[in-house]
Amino acid sequence: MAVAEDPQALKPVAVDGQAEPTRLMRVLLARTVVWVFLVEVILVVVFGILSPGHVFWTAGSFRDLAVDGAEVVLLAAAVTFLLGAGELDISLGANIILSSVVGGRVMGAITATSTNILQQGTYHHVLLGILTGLVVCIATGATLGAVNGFVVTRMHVNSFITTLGTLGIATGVAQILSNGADLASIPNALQLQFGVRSLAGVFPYPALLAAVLICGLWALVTFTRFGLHTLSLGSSREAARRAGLKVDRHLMTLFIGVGAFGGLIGFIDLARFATTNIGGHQTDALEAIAGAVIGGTSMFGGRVSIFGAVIGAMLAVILNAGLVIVGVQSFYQLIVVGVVLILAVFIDQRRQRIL
Amino acid sequence: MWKRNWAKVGALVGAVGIAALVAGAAIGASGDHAAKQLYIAGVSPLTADPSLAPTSCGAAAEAKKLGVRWTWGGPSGPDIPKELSYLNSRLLLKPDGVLLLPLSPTAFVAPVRGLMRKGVPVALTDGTLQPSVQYRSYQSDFSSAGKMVSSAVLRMNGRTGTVGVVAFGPDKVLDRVRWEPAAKLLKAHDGITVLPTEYSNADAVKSASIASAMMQAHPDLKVIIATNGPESSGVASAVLAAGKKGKVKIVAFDAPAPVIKGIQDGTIAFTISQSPYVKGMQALRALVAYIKAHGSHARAVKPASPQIVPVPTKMITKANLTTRAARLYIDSADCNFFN
Repeated sequence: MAVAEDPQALKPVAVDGQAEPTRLMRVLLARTVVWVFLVEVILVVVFGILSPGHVFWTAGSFRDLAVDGAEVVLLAAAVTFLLGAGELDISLGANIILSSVVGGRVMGAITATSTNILQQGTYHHVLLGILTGLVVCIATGATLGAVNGFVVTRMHVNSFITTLGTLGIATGVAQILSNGADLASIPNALQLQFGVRSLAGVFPYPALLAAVLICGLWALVTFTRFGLHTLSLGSSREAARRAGLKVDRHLMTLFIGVGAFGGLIGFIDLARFATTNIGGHQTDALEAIAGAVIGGTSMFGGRVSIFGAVIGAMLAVILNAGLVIVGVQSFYQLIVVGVVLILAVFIDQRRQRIL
Repeated sequence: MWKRNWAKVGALVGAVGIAALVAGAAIGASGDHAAKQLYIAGVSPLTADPSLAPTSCGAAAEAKKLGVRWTWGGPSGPDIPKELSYLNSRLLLKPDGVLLLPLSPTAFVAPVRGLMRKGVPVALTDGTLQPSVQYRSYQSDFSSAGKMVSSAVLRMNGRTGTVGVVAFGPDKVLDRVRWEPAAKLLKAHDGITVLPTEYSNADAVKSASIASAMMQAHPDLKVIIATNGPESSGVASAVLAAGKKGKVKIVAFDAPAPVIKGIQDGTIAFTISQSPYVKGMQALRALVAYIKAHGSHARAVKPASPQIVPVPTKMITKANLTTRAARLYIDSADCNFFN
């Protein structure tokens, strides 16, 4: 059965003479996302206590968490749609790199005044270049998504294998286009006015953009026919087909949409670093999928939670930042992150069995 | 009638063809005769990568000066079989010497050993072979970099405060030689605290996250050492986002375009850079000197002593950025940049 987050379910309703708070508590505790959120609250409390001068509880620390997590939570929220439909996309990290390289090259071609490395820093047509770069990033990501969608729906290749293949292809194309070197012809204005800037000094713009888009995705899956169709594909593809859904067309739209989000994240990358990040994003797709699953989305389709994906993806972000702040050595960080992730899912599964 | 004409035309074309072949052979022979010009083949992966391409620029400039024929090529990506295949195809042209940037320390041992036995010296720039069978190897010398970094850091932070390190990975030996000597020297000063090294695996996003956390936990953090380009970009983004440009100084390594941009706009204090250009120049010079002294394809080549030649690194700051000396240490795929 297709299940999306239902805001009505959160309303405290008195049933059989039960007290409202008890009912609310039961509804809340039945949700995976609440448990993962509780784990995160505990982590924030522990890191706050252990951090020097309790700096983990400062506004600056939360601002850093927001900006550091912006890309992965957006990716997790987007990939939730594909998971909901019973599909995967593990090429998203390569998508981000390729989109940023193509968008960055176009941006540089429009704005940079010289190809000489020592004459960087002077730009013209900055706004035009940035907007064109944004469109090109999104278009590149959507194109890669379309390729994935085409292979999955027309050539009937499993989405895992398809996106494993396009992961390599996109990485290779990005390497060819960039000669393996990060681009630097990105106007500084993009970084200074958006990438590292915060609204009122507290809300980083990349995180705000991610928040707005995540709310949009939540509304899309919760209130629209598109969301319902997506979940029905994951619940029973055959039933969806018999019910008259244009399954292939819907899947194609999903792959293109998720690809476009990858492209947008490529643009955010350019904005944050004023360069590409060719060596990075190797595990982004897996982190996003893991975040979505931890947050309550089913790997096999039919059940999604957009906010769960966000909270699930933030778990690793909080852990990574907290462990650096409290001074746990790098080698141990990997172990701790792995253990906490497994524990979080284990506790949730055990709870579900008990319920 | 037309048949006779066609026969004449055929005979004419045949005669012209034979004449051309004979002339071509004669020219070829005279070319071979005159080809006492030495030929050095350069083989490298990622030939258009701005951090490797200067090797060819340096070698080409030296080859021009010495009157030597020089070619440069290889796979566009980090592909060991393709680099081996490219090397083998180049060897068919019988080069007098080979300049190699090996992607693997083991895969190139057999062909290099074979070449050396046939009297073809092989010089390496970057990379190593195990066992070390090449004629000579030109490696960036980071031993002095530690002193350069520690002295500059002490000067910048007034001999007090905390220093952070964001490196590539704990298993990367070539990365470790960049930060470890500086960290050791800095730890010897009472007023300086060096934080445990954090690793980001060349990911700017992770580097930014680490740098943000470091700044939160240590308000007295004055310097962050970033050992590669992506680490520098990530740390710079975090410093800018925290509004600490100038307060937290960034020390970088290497000189790709984003790092140069950071130095220009003041986000990065300085970088310690190696020079593939100088390495290419020196390697080609050594190969030519050997061949001139011992002859081409003569007896088996023995490894030189010393076999490893350290090539100094250089500190690049905003003040010396545009000098000719600093230019030789900047990554650029455009050889005109170095003129």
